[in-house]
Amino acid sequence: MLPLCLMEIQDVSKTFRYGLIKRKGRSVFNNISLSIPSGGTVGITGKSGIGKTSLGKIAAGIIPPSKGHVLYKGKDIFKMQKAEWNTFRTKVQMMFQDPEGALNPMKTIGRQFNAVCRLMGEKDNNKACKRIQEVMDQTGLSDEILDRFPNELSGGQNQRVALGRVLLLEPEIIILDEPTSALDISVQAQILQLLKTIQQENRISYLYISHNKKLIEFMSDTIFSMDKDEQDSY
Amino acid sequence: MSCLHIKNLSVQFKTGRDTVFAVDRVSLDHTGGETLALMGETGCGKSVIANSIVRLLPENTSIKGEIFFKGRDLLKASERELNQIRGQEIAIVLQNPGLALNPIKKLGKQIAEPLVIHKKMPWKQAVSQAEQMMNQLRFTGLKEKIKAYPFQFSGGMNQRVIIASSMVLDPRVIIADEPTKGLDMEARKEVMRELADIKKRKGSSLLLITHDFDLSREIADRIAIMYAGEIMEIAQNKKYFKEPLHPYARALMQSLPENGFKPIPGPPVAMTDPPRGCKFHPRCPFRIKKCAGERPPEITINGRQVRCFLYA
Repeated sequence: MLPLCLMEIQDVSKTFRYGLIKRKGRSVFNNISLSIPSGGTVGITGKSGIGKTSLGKIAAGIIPPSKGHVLYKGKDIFKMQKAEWNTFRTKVQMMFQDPEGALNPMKTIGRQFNAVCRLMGEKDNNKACKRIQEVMDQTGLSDEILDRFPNELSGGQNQRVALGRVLLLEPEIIILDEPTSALDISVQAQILQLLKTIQQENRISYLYISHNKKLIEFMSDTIFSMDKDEQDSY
Repeated sequence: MSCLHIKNLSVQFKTGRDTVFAVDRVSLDHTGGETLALMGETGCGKSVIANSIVRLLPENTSIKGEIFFKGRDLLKASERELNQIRGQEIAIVLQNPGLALNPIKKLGKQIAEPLVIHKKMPWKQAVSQAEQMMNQLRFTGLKEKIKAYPFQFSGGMNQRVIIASSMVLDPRVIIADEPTKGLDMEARKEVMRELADIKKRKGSSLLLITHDFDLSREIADRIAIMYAGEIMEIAQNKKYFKEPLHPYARALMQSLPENGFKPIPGPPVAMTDPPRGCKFHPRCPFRIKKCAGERPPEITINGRQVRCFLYA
């Protein structure tokens, strides 16, 4: 059984260093703590440049924090052994703002899905096809897109493909970084409802990052604002 | 008085295998001094209309209809005539500020450049006029901003610079293509304030292309709703937001956060193979038999136009 709290971010700070000779530091955020419960959604909001994406990348293990710890199922992710780290990187996935940029422009959607199945160790083609079909049904994609390239699909379809690719990995946490900001309102509504359905069906936890407070309020169980004047969870 | 008159505009793009029917028989009147918001989902042809007005379309385009500006049909104007109109009489604010600005040119010079090109003004005088324009638009820390490069500023600030550079020649019509796309709340508010301010000060007409409902509600006089290359409804701002008439216009309002993000059922139309009759009928909850076979006429009700059999 899954623990109640899947991930804990403890007193995390991030400073970016720049300059070749005189190294300077720009502090982005300091001492942020929050926890992601199993099956729940934590929303992170704040103005542009406040460090929302950096915090998301730290939680996904893509960049290290300058201070503090990120615990996944009680273990510090930056002190994990290789096997544990590989499991963590599979089970905690990140979805980005620009869906087309997140997909390989040179590969058809079918090949991109197949590549994920192979990475998961699935050698049986029939089983891989079955799993891809399940994910496509879940994300509302039709078969005809398998032979198409990302630039031949709409923004909403590409975001569904990006979500499908993440779902193939059977994640426990998805970090969603402004997943609908490049989409128009009607497609945004479709993707948000889809994310809610998938969360209910698969019991996945979300860390949802957006500058749009109305959207964060709609999606989240708990909200963490990174704006300095209202830095509080509510 | 009509400032820009679009009559039966159809635009198609020929790609390798298919033809994209981007705009289908669109007629629109844009009166002087008004702000008209052209709204609809991505790929419905909003930006194609904007680019047709200034004739910035790729070579594989087939364009039919008429676009009258000051009594001249822009679709029949020569490239030389168009160069005089672009920027000076009709300015276009493009949707990606990061790409629309020159990354290796200082912002002050970029705002001043239209004056040098169109009015043959010396650079020094042009930069000083650009400074005045930035001052009018309440840019803070003006001295540093004039000498800065685009990468030193946020998307919102760069978008304000593009607006300033399009205003510097006092154009009669400004076309703003998704001016708030990708900006956060604060930057969106700044751009909204800027556009409202310009409208008040200069009296220019503004054709706003957007899917940002907050922006349209704030500054538009009239709203035109587009779907799959056609205009489905045109109404006064307050009337539209109080009670949209066309089923697509109503469904679009339901997708808003305040209405609970309710999605429009069904997939969007493939522009290479649009349905016959009303283009919204495959997704419309009120469709009748006629909708699949016949294009609905444009019906006028209380000063607003709707293209739907429900009101025939």
